[in-house]
Amino acid sequence: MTTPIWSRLISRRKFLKLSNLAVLGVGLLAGWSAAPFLRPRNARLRPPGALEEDRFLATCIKCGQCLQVCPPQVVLLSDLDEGFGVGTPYIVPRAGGCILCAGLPCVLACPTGALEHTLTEGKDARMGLAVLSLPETCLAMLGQDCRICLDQCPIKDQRPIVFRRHAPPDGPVYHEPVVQSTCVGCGKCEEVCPTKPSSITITPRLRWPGVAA
Amino acid sequence: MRGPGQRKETIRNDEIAVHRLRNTRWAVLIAINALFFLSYYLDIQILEGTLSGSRLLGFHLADPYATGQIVLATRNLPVNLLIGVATILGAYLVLGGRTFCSWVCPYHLLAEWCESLNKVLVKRGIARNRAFDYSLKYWVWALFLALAWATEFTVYEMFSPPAVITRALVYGSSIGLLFTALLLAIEVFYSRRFWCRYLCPVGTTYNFIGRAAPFKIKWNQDKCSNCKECQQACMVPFVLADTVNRGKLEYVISGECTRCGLCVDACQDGALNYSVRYLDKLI
Repeated sequence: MTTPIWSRLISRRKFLKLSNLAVLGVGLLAGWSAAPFLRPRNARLRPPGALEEDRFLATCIKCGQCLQVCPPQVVLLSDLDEGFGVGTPYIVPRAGGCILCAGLPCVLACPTGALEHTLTEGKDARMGLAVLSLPETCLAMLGQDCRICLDQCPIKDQRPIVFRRHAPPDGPVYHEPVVQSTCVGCGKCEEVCPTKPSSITITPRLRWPGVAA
Repeated sequence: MRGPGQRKETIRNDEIAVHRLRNTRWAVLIAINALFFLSYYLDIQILEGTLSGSRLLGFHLADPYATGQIVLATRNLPVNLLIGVATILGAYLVLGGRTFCSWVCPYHLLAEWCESLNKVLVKRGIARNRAFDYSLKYWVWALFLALAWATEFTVYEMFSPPAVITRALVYGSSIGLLFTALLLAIEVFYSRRFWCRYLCPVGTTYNFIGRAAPFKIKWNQDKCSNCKECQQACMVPFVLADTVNRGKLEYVISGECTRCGLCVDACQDGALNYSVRYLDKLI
């Protein structure tokens, strides 16, 4: 049997070793190029103190300790369908909003500062903003005496929602809930809104113009 | 073939199968992982979190490889993370590095069972046991660190088996387990201990730490009768070569040694045991 020409150039052992590395390299390149598409499509509501989203995803160690210490147990962990966000914590406000509890145990439990330790009070969090997304179903807009979103708000002393009185000449008096810059987007209003679906919803990461992160 | 052991006679008794250390180790491993589960499930708050990051009675612990990635991805080292990683580094510098693998990592236990299954299947001609280059994991180790730096994201933490398994254990099942299942299938049918031996960067980090750790397996030349049962039992057999085969060293110094104690269980001569290097000379 004649020796194949390539075996004079490179030994079998070396070829196998190199092919292992080549497979590895291709895999890593594929992962790298797929990475942007793996980012979660919809912004999630993150626990209070969360860093800006890209940095949050990079910093979170995915240990779930924020979830373990959460008194109302509203923090959930995302699964692989979240792409890059796998194992990171989020809140579904309709299922249970953050109550901005004293001491912010989730922030204290975070080992990596993905939930920033400079945040010490719930009222200073910037998780997102409440938006009156379905004004046509809002009971207050329909003239009823509903103030549940404000009554249940964990920081209602900060007056994050103001009810503006409207008295149109051709109809009954009604009150419009207007979200103020003190709203932190904890999601309690979305949770407790009596209409189905909720008339007031949280837009994660949304900020008032001019309000710093 | 005779090795460098000094004892002439061999007193092998194949009736005796000692699994004392293995059973202790499995008990410790299962207890630690159960503690992760129970701390949340029963809210006893002893060991909270997962194997990537946790708190033991409120004191931060962090996986060194995960920490390395976060530092490279974010160019920042938060204080809690520093405390966590320093504690873990300190602990494993004493306990011996890859001790983590065999005494703590839940994937390792599954892989051990898959290895036994592979041995049976290879005998029956159903499975294979392909070997790869042991140095592959150093490349993987460096590449995922480089990737963390380049993408500014902790890519490896998406599927790191010990983290994914403990996360599934504590917080419920996860699709991430599919990757772990795939790895285990490879280990059963194609290549024994494929992940732990050739790829795992977490184990590789502990491999580096373990080289400096004084807690090692000690070989007693006078008691050894060269039966090589230790290498039959060992999960990374070449780590014993410098002692039992060549007689060059008294301690198993390789970073690959997981201090699992299988060789200690297997040795009927009492020639292998745990020891603290440097310290045992003083006492």
